[in-house]
Order: sequence, then C-alpha cells, then structure tokens
Amino acid sequence: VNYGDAIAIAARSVRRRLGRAVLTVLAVALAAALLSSLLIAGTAAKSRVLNDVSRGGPLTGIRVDAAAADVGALDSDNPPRGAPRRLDEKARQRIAALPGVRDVVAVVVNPVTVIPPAKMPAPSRRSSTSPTTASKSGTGLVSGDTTPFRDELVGVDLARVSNVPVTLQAGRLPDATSTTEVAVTDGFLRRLRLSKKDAKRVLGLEVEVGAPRLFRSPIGTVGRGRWTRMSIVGVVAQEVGDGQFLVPIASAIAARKWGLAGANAGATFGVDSSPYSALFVIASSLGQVGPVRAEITKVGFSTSAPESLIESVQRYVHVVEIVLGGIGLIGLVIAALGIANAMLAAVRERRREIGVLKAIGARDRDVRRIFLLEAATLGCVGGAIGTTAGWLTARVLAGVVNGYLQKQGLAGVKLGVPGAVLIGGVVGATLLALVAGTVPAQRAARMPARQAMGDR
Amino acid sequence: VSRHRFARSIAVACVAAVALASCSHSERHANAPGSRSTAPPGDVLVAIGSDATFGADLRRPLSEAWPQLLFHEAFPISTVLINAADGGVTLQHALTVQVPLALEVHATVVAVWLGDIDVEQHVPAATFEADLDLLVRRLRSSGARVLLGNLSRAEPLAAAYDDAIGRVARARGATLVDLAAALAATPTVGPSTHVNAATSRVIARAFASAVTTT
Repeated sequence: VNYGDAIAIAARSVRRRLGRAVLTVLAVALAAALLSSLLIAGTAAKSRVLNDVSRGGPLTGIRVDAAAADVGALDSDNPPRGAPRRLDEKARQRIAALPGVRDVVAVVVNPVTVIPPAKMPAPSRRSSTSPTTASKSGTGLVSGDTTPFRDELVGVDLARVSNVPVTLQAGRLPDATSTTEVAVTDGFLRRLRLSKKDAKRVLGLEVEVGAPRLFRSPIGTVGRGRWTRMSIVGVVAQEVGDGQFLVPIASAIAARKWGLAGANAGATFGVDSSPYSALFVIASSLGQVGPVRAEITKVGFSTSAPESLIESVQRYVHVVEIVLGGIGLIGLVIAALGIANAMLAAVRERRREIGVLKAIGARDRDVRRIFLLEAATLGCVGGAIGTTAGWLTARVLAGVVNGYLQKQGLAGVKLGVPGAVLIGGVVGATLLALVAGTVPAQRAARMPARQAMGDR
Repeated sequence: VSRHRFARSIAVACVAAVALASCSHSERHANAPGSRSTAPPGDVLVAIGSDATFGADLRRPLSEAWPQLLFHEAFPISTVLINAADGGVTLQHALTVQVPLALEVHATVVAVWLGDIDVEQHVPAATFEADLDLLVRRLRSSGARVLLGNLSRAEPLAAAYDDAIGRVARARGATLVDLAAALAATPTVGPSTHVNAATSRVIARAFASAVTTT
C-alpha cells in the first residue's frame, strides 16, 4: 500500500462516515478557533502594548513640573510638587542630554477666559438641562449660552505630538504653526451639554479666548484681555495639562507673555512665571523611566510618571496570558480527545476492512499509515476551518472593541492578517490530530487479520 | 482625575490588545485629512473708550460689548482684540493710559468712542478737541488706522464735540463713524448713554460698516 492508495482509502472512509467526520472536524475547528483567537490576543497583548511601552512612547513619559524636587518622593508615581522653580530652555536642554532620554517636549499652560460659540450644535439627545435657549436654525445649530468661563490653554509643540499623551477623537490636531486653530477636549463638549458622539459636530465652530492681564491706572486696578478667535479643528483626549483647549505652543506663549507684562506679573490670574509650565520627558524604554526620574531629581525638578501603574499592567497582562494559555490547553485536550474518540470508533467499525487489507498483504505500517492519514486529514481540514473562523471572529471583535474604544475617547486599531497564526493553526491542528490518532492507528495496525475478519 | 484617566487609558488599551487580533498599526495621533487654515498674522484691533466701550451697563460685557462684536463681525479670525476701555473715564485718561497700551501692542486698527464722560464733566469743547487731536495724532503716527465714533446726545456741548470729532477725523486721516445717525435710525435701542445689548450691536455694526466700506 503506497501513499496514494492510503490517501484514497482514507478519503473513502471519510466519505462513508461523513457525519462522524464532520463532527470530528467541527471539534477540531472549534479548538483551533479558540486556540487561534487566544494566540492572536496573546500576541497583540504582548507586542502592541508592552513592546510599545518598552520601546518608549507616551506611556514612558515623565512629567517634569516647574517645581523643586522632593528626593524622598521618587517612589511615588505622582508625588507632591515642591516650591515653584523656573523651568526654562536651558533646563530643557540639560534634561534632554541626560542618559536614557529619548525626547523632551515643552508644555506651556496659561489661564484664559473663553467665550463659547454663539451658535452651537443641538444636543443629539433631548435634554431638559440643555442651555440652548433660542430657535433652531436650518443648519442644525441653536443659540448657545455665551457666558464666559475660566479655563486653561495647553500649549504643546504639536510637531512632536506623537511623544505626548494626546489622542485624537475627531477632526485633526491644530497645525503646529497656526495661531487660530484649537483642539478641544471632552470637558468642553460636556460644557456645551454635548456627548462624545457629537465630537464631529463642533468642528469648525469658533471660540473666543482671552488671556488676562492686570493693569494699574489712576482709576484703580483693572483686568484686560488679549482676545483671539480660534476655530475648533479637532477633539482630543489629552493628559498634558488640565485645560480643555490644546493649541500650538506659540499661542500659549503669546497669551502668557501678555499676562506676565501686567501688574503683579500675572500672579493675580495664576499666570506661570516659568518659561515652561512643564516638560514631557520620554524615556528610551520602560526600564529607563526610574533612572531618568532619579537624574531629573538630581537636576532639581519635581517629576511624576506612571511607572508603577505600567508595571502593574505588565503583571496583569502576564496573568491574562497564563489564563489564556490554560484555556487554550483545555481546548487542545478536548480536540485531541475528540479525534482519538472518532478514530477509535473508526477502528472498531472498520475491523473487517482492516482484516481484508491484511489478508491481501497489507503490512502493519500500511494500516497505521491509512489511519494516520485519515486523522491528519480531519485535523488539517478542522484546523483550516477553525483558524479561519478564529480570524473572522477576531475581525468581528475588532469592530466591537473599536466602537468601545471610540466611546472611551481612544483611537481604534486596525486588524492585520496574522499569517503565522493562520499557518500555525492548520499545522498545529494537523500535528495534534496525528498525535491523537496514533493510539487508534497503532491498535488497528496490530490487529491480527483473523481476529479482524472473524469479529463482526 | 488626570491620573485616573491615564490609568483608564492604559487599561482600555490592554483590554483592546487582549481582545483584538494582531493590529498592524495604531491610528493614534493621526491627523485626519482636512484643509488647514494657517492664517497669516492679522490685525491688532484696540478699542479705546469709556463706559459704553467697556460694556459697563451690559449683563455680559465680555461677550456683548461692541468691540467684541466688532471683532467678531468685521475682522478675520487672525485678528487680536484688546479692549483698552475703562469705565467712567475721560478723553484725558484715555490719552494717558489707553493710548500707550495701543502703541505697546502695535495696534493696526484703533476704534475710538469717547466724549460721554467729558460731556458730563463739562470739559470745554476746545480742550476736548485738542486732546482728541493729540490722541489721534499719536495713534496715526504709529501707522494705525483710526476709527472715530461721534456722540448721540442732545446737549449743545455734545454737538460741539461732534463737530470737533469731525474736524479731527478730517485733519488726521481718521475714519468718522457716524454713531449718532446709526443710533437715531434705530430708535428702539434707547439713548446711547445707557448702552444695552441692542445698542451695542448697532454701534458694532456702524463701526463694522466703516471698516468694510472705507
């Protein structure tokens, strides 16, 4: 019996007992789908989160405040700030030269008064608490509450925004050189009684932003604003500062310069006298966060970083990997048992056929080959169906998860074609079937011809 | 709050990664396509005046005062506005306090509406005219375009002031904004000495008309 004969006999056997073969294939497919999903998830968890972190990026960011360091607070992710300390370009360059520092991004935060748009989108859901008061227009805009409110401009070098924790939710980021563009946060949407779903509807609206300055004159002390109009070009989630308005750093610097030139050097309005309100230092890897923080502390500035948090996340992800691995192992065992059971049943049912084969000269290894080929075929087909189903399931999950991420104010992720997992799933399922089919095949091969022929 | 949001972001990212199949790349920080409007450096508009310009009688002076409305309606988005007005001040005060501020910020357009307090304090018309001439001359010497609003009052002194405002505008190349006519043409807004939101809009429109037509 050569391989061609063995394949033909195995295929005929599968066709004869199609129901059982289908059920066996389904068992393997389910296990393969589960396994491939878990493999994909595990790979994603490790490569997309932890590897990104270890290479450096916003998650390895260290916030340096314009405040003196507290050496004893290095063990804390977010220690209390010391006394105010000037954070200027010289300090920025000194910190940028420290070992383990990949980039340093300056941040300028300035208090402002903001006048909301006179016309704003109506809330998508009817709400009795809506501030809108006037008639609707044909454009879907309604008259809004233009009561000014205090907030902060958060100025960042937007040319290097990829290194700071800013995530775009709608629209785009302001041009790095623009003085008339702004991105707002969810907080501003909430102020307008809008939800995250309405993010795109605020794009193109204008806000008026006034930087305060105190004047002393013969009639007393008065405040005056330097007013600029800004067009909302994007909605972001940002951890750079507490303000709701993200602008190019030049806009924030101009606002601060105006305030500092006034009486009391802007202190009345909380204008920071330090050239930079903060620096965002990106460590070259997660392991460098601690040493870099220590070095910055030696320079004399207060730091904060989420390193404890990230280490906790790493531990959680590792636990998740172990759990997923356990579930996958159970899936494998179930699939193997299913294949073994199907093959044992096949051996029992096909004793006569085995006896005939042996009577016409088939050797033990020929019989073993037939059953192993049958098992491998079931495993291969089941593996192909299962891994494909697992990948399709992952695509569906991707849509669900992306929807959730968008609701949370985070950008979605794209799903690639995991070639290694797809190929590995088919090969793995085939090997698993071979292993599971070994005992039944061995039993069939060792069955004496007389016994096989005489026992019905 | 910031830290909680950060923690939530990381947790959500991990959940996403665990739930998702391998992801080719993240769309974080990606700028969506769209036209970028990097406006060139624009005008610096400075408003000089007293109560009405400051918005003293308004419920929301920051958003309802006529300079703010003018800024919004007649100037491009790249314009910077500084309302230098103070409540209850005369032209003399504006000359010593508000004009230096306009010069400091290199104003390119200065909208001036003064005289009500001077009328109430019976400042002679000749003094008013001399001070106004000095004020406009200083502003014009810096290269700024000057818009001069006249008064809308019945007193004879106010009429003399209006004559003076007209003469100074002609002599110094400033643009006369006939607020008296604008307010008279809109009788529902009330007297100009007590500016309300409607009056503010009329004044802003009159200045805007002068900006766009001259």
